[in-house]
Amino acid sequence: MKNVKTKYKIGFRHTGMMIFLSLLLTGCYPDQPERVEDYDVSYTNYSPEFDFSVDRSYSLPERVILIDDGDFSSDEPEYLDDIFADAILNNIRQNLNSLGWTEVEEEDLPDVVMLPSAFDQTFLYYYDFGYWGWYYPGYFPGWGWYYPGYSPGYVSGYRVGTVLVQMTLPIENEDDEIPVVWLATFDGLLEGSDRSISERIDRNLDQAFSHPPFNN
Amino acid sequence: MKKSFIVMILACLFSANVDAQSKFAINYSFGIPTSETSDLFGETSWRGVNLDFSYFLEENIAIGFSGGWQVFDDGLGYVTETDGTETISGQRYNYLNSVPLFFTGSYYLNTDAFSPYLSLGIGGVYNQLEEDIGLFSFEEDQLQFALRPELGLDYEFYYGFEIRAAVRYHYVFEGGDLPNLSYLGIVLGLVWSN
Repeated sequence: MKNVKTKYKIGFRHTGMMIFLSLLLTGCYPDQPERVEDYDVSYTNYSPEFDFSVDRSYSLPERVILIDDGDFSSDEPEYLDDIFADAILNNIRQNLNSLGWTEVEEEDLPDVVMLPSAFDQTFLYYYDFGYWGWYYPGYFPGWGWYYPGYSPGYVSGYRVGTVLVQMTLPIENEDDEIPVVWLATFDGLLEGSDRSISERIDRNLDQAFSHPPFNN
Repeated sequence: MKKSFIVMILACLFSANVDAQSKFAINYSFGIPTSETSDLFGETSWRGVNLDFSYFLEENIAIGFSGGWQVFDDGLGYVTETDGTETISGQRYNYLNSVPLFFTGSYYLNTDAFSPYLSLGIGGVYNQLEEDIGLFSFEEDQLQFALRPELGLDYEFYYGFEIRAAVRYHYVFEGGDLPNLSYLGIVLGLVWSN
């Protein structure tokens, strides 16, 4: 009789254990990103000292540079593929024009110079200014960057695919440092078709231009 | 790896002999966020497990310990957050792994088949809070002091076997960089007693 009871106990124990292990081990996956675009992030920061509400003139290069190292040591930078570069340049142009800003050539002394760049691994806010030597009006080797009145954050270290857009003031060069009064980054995974990546670039840059100070 | 570890612990517990005048329980629990936990999680956590052990000092007074694991998560959708001159937009997800560890004192109102009890747990909750936005992840973890009042009922449905239903309020004190991450736990479990 005692043995029967013991068998019963073992049966209950095993059943209970199976029920609870089932509860514990199955279906325990939390909500998490499922699509590649769920990892996309738009980030912006700006100088509170600059008046963005005034209509400005701007210049925009014809190409987007590709940065793979903080130091620039060759004669010419690498450039981003046209399909992605066009998505970036067209978006910047469209958004600035819709603000009432006017595009001019870089030699026409624009109020601001827009500098779009792309990183596939290392990301740096203070990359070598020499990357823009081929384009920037009045460029002289040894120039650097500064961010007046704010510190760029969030995006640092190693990421997978970053587009950085810097809005700079060429006529306010202080001690060979060019002020960056607005920046936007789009971080995302470099996965999917070229078309889908271009669409994500477009969507996330649109989002960046909907952030302050442009939404005021 | 985590699953294997849990299976191993459970196997050891089930194979161990339970001493006289003691109860061992394994419980499924779900957690309802309260206080600042509800600011981070709008949804009930359906993922939780608890292990309780009680040793009876007298017929209706027991001391013991209780441990568990409750997982909260919530997808907040696409959000835009501004802090000063910084603005960030992306899909936002919050995760909380909450591991309560308590020394308990329990008082059983009677020792019949239906055995209601009151219990108070004193201990801590190890919390690991992760706030993700797109590729970015912000994580904090901390062992926080906590109290856990509990109201429960054990029902003996077979000799030496009971079903447990209990309501436990995990009051978690602010600690480190983490806020008061309290929650209400509803517990259903199996109890082995002798």
